[in-house]
Amino acid sequence: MEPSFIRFVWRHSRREQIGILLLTVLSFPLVYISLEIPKIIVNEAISGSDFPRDLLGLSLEQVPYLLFLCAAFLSMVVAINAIKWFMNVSVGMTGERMLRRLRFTLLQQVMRFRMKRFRTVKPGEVIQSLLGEIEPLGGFIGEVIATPAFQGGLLVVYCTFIFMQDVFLGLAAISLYPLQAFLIPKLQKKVIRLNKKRAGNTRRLADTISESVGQIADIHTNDTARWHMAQVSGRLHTNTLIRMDIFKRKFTIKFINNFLNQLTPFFFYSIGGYLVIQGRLDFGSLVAVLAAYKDLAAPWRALLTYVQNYSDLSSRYRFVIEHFEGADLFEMDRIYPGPDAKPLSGPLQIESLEGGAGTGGLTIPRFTLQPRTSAAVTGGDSGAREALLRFAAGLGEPERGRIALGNQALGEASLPQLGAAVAFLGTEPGIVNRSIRDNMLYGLYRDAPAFALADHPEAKDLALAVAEAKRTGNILADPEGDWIDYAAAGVDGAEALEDRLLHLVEVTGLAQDLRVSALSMRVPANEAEQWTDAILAARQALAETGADLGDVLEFWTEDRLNTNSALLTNALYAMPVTDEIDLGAMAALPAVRSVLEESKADLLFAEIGWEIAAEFAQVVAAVDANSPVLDGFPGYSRGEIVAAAEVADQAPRSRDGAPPEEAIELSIGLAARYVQTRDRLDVLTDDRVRRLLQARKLAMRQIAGRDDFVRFDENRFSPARTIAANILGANRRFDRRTAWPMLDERVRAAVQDAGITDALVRLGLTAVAGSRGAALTAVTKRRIALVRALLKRPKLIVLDGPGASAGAEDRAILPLLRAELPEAIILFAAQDREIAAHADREIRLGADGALIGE
Amino acid sequence: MSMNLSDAVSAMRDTALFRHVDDKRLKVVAMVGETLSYRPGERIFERGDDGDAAYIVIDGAVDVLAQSEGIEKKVARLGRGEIFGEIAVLCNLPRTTAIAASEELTVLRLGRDELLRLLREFPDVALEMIRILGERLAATTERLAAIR
Repeated sequence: MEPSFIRFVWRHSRREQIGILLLTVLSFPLVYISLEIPKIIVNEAISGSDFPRDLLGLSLEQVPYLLFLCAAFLSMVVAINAIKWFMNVSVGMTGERMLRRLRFTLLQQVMRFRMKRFRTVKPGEVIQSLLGEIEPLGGFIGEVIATPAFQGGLLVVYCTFIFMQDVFLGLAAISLYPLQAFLIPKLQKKVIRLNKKRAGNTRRLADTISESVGQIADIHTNDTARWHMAQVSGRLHTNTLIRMDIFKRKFTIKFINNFLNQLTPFFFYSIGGYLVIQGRLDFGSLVAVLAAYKDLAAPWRALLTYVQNYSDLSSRYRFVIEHFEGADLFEMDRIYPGPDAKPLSGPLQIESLEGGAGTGGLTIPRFTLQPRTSAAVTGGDSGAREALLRFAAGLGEPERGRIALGNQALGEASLPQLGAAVAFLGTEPGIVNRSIRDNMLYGLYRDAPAFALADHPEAKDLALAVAEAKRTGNILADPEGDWIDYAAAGVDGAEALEDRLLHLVEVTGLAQDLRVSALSMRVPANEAEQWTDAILAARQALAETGADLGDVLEFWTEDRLNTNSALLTNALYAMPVTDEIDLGAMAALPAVRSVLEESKADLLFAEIGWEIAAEFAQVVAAVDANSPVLDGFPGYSRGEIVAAAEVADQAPRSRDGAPPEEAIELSIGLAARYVQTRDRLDVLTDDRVRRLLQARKLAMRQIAGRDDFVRFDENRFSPARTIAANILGANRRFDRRTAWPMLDERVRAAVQDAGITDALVRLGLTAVAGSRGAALTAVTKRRIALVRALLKRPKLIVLDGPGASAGAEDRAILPLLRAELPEAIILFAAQDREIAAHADREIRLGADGALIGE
Repeated sequence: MSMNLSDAVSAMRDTALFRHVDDKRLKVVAMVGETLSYRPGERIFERGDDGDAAYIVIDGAVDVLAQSEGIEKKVARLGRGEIFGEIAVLCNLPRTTAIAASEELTVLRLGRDELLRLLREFPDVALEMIRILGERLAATTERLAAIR
């Protein structure tokens, strides 16, 4: 990385900087002309005589001459502003691109860090450096050259003008500049030091905050919320102290600057006045000099600000990059595959290995493990076992000796080499916030795809993405392209890979979890069609079990209210084809709303919803808007209840029960979601039920034959409902909730009987894992990691945790690995020698970390 | 037709626990809970189960079933407006008896979290609960004294 800010700017943006400078220079004559024209308009066109005048070969009378000059003035204004626009966009874009380059470079540096560096590098600090700390650089980079050139140029022009009037006055005008130039940087230095201190504190603050959010479970179970808040509060206080210091110094600098700038006119009045009285300077010149000096102040102030910003930001640049540099970084080609990076293969060889500090004294004189064999590591509880497994996975290097796969030392192998040959399974697998399928394929994401421009519907956008990536030194790979290295998985394409994936999902026991979770998932509207047969088969299978489903389910009957279903679905006797989840929002979809309006259900909904709002107002009045009781209602959230209550309280009561205009939408939304058996308010009178059923008749007539709704008497998959709800074809009775688990069991059996389990597994694979796998159980995460490891067919698989205990799940791992990866070397941690007996060999480490037996 | 909140409210008015609570608040209690129905003979909970909820009979009746020398015996019948299961919730104890519906039954179920929230929100209810538990303790003490 470039050690200094200006070198970084010059190296990567000199073309843009020169362009901006040229634009600046280009604007000078235009500005001059735009100042000149008004003078001509006043003196010549308005006050002038002797017309017509010749202009560009035309002979113009006074009024046309005036209009011509005015048009010229307007053109100048447009031209100047056009140049300014162009310049501002260039300045902004140059800054933004440089920022992108810097951020990318810094992240690339992180990827080059050795594992041991992550003991001191904290995620929160890296985020703060990458996002917050360097952000102000972006706004400044675009003007690094243009501002001093422009403002400096102006300053020179004004100074020259003053010197032309009188040398002494000129000297007076610039007399304090040397003092300022000497004093300000000195004061600024301290401010820069404080800014650095503040950035350091902010980094630590960012890390403290990310730590607090990251371990919320521990905070809850240890009652350390107050401790964490106090930690953050302490850092915030330090921040306040530093800020206070910065403010004092910064405004001292400002005070001195302002004072010195005001001091110059003092010289003008005294020296200039004296010279005028002496008759050595004429009065007009003094006035002109004073006017010029007024103009001089602006560029001088701009230059001073520039200098301040420059010193602040260039030190900030250094401060940030220092954090990302060091002599111990891996070479760049560790990330990007070089042409001579040979695939790793051969036995795992350990020679004269000494782990060094922090490895529990790990020492192994010699050990070789051939392909197709397994070894268990036992003992070494003070860190040696863990260190050995990490060295074997290439996650660090021993202090002495070597650990190699074939002839390549693992700690020095490139990432492409390691990724292809080694799999590491720890207790907490890394999960990305993508689908479960993506997380399984993660181990194959090694084939960086170029942007496929040809025949792409968004080729223009892609071409821009490529151009921008090139301009900013970013990676030239399509983030959403096909990253899969099919060869690594031993398959020839997507279809074969899917088969392999389904096989692994089955053998790792994940398939059952996926099937269960898929039942509560929805299917995108555009894929709904293909699910119809599957759910009908399952529904049939469910019916054939002969269970009394009517006890747990309320089936749909055309002329009766379904008390376990929402009013919206009751009014439509159908569900719209949509990906929308919330029924209130569904009621606002144009297609749905028009049916509601035509059938007059909207009026009924408004009336019912308004009454629900009034009920909520009573509830809120009985408790308190902050009461935890409000979190306990099953159908509506606290926010909705409080908002509805507020509107209902403020609006005037009407006689016909209809809501005021502004509350209609809210009321319709509340009513659309209302479920009688669940919410149990007294809002559904017999008359309203009659009107609802009437509206339903009209709605059914409108919906008949349409594809954008799925009616309840229609045998078609409804994407607005979950798979399980589609299979049931009815609504679960809320008052029979205790019987739901039995129903779930029956649905699972029906799915099995109907033979749609594979389809469910595929759907389950599309479920999103959540941030760090928050939506998944620990067991599911471990199984995903296992599939991930198996899929890429490593030469060496290292397990630190999975397979270590005598539990059923752990005991199943070793045979599974052997069956799926017959060629691989398996190295795993074992809790005791009994478990180690399942491996071909044992590496027994003593309490001091030394090898004591094989 | 299913049971509305007003049915639950009118049942609760007969409950000693909620005697001093006005209808508005009773409605909140009913809203926080869920209305469940059971068939005759169906078990609401078993002896030894976690005490995760309290129940108020809205309609129908339940049998309280205790174990005596390995045989299950009906020791009491609770009808409309009566509450059961609240002690296990408050004291975090397993169920000491089993409960079964003796006829078509509708109850209001208040989960532990909901019940605790309500007690915090409505101190009258908490006081009333203390009073009822106190009365029961006094009755037990009296009975114990009589046995001695």
